[in-house]
Amino acid sequence: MIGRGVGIVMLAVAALQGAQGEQRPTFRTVSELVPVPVAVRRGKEFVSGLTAADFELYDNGVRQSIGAVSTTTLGLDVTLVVDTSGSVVGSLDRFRSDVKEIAGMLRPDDQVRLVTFDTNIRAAVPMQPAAHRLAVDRITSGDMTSLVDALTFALARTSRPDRRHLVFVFSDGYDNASVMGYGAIPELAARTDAVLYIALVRVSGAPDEWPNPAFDALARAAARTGGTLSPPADSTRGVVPAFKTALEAHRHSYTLYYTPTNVDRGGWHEIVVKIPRSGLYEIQSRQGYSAEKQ
Amino acid sequence: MRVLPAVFVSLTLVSPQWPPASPVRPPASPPGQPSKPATKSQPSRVRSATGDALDRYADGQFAEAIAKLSVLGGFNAPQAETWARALGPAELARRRLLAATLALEYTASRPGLSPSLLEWARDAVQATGSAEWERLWLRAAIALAEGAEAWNFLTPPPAAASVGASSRGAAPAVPPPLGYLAEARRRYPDDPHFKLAEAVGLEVAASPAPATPLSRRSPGPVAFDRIAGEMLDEGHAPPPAQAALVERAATAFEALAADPVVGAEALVRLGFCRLRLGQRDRAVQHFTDASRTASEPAVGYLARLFAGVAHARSGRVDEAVAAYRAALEILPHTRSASALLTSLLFMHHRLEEAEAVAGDFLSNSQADRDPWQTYLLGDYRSYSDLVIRLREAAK
Repeated sequence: MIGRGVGIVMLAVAALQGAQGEQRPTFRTVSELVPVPVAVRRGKEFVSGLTAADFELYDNGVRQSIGAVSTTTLGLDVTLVVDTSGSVVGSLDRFRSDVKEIAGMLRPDDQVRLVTFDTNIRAAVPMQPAAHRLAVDRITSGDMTSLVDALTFALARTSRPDRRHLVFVFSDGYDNASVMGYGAIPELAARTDAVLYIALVRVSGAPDEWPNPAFDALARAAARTGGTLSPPADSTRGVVPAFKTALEAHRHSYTLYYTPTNVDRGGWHEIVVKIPRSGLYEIQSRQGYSAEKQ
Repeated sequence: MRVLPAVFVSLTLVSPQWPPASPVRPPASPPGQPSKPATKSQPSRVRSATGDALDRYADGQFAEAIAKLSVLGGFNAPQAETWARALGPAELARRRLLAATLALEYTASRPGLSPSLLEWARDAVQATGSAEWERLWLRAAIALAEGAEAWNFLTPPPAAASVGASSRGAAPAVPPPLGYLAEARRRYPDDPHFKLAEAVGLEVAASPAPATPLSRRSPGPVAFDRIAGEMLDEGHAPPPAQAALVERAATAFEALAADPVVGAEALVRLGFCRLRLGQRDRAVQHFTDASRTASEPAVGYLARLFAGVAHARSGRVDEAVAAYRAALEILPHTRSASALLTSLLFMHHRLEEAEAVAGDFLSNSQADRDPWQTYLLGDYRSYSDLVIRLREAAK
């Protein structure tokens, strides 16, 4: 038993059979099956029609047998984590409209919740169907910034077998009020099934400190989950484009399943996904997961 | 578990701020009416902005009184003294206490603290002749200064020892001899609150400077960033010079550990010093002792919170989880214990439990009541209660 942590599904697909079935999968119990979401681009276009034979997957350097590939688009549980501290007070109107626009991009079977953070952290809107109106007026300004603690709470969510958790963060990235240090976030990211996207916003008057160790930690955390960090320079038009890109990646993603073989069960499992056939592919996938030691 | 801290800079005490951000304004004249000194023929209610504010304050309209001062040019010490004398000797002491308390509340409501106003208020409350009132007022003033991290109010700059307060004359070229703590210790050497404040001063001096410059902070004191990260970061042990200061603070707390009034808090702080010095088992013992004796919820909470950190650092996960949960039983839905517990469970692949704690916190979080937020602000958490006691005393 590797554990209930990141990347392990106790309930896994049966009807995949190594092909990209578009039908809704039925589930049966399979232990220690690791799902790896993968988005493949060629240029700006997402690549479809790939099968298990097109991928190579390595776990801590050891090639693994891919048991199944699914292209079924799972329902999304989206957690929007919005910075409401004093330093972004000038961006709050933009945040409200961005959140509203993002909620509008979701499908009826998706869900969304809104977590705001400043000196305080709270679920301003608990997880609800995406079709419901999102009370963006609950995004109100506060004082200091508790980014790392907010991320800790947002990422602490168990995986649902037929859903994917996407955590999307709007922040200037400057934490000054968390119990936890930035370094905790990559460790927690290694233990969650969620895909983490962070869109940093530039705030007027803030020094240009990009890159810095704090932002590096955030970027490392996002990359571990298969997500990305958008630096402030990329976020000047708001965070909606960053979310749209993340959503497209999810909608066009494959999920590779494998059972770890010939590797130690505990500790960090670095995952590398390759497409050996010719062509320039850009592959976006989680970088690994941390499993409980026996 | 290695956790990188937020940005810490080298150890410094908070630099003194002088001139103050909101000095006492010169006497303000009501519109169309020159300011006049009080005379025996004046009515009991002296007509001046500060006098009007003090009348309101005496009537229990505390917020209105402070707002009026803010609108009408600030607290005017001579007008306050005139108001205090207006009802004759029988009422003088009580009205001086009222004026000194309003002065305290007024400067607390402004950005920055006013040294000259507090100097005047300290003299006023001392002039009441009541040791009980003076001790209470001094404790409130010290708590306020701790809350604002204004250590220049607590420790007089050596170079300024012989300079008079600005309220008594022209603005001095160097800061006046502030230092309510030093004054309080001199006048009441056995008061445990003042002893504890002195030890807290050593502890703060041994703590990282704030990552967020004080000048960029909004009102509402919090000192998160001075211990953020350090709590979890085994590798963030203080450098030798700082460790010596931590040891000094520990010695000071140890001397207070048996005190019936502040002993529990001294034990918590002693334990935290030991934790910072890497002496985890000793720390746990102090936290356990504090847990047994603490009557104040904030102190009991901190004892269990820090015990959780000590256990977690020692790899005793179940004990750490139990300690964090015990802290949350005292103050449910408090962020520091919720975050540390969530993280610990998360790190040990107990994600379902972590989710339960996180979900409970996110749905019920309580703003502005986490004792950890004010840990390095000493007695500041008591400030509001102390002011209420001062108001009651002056009735």
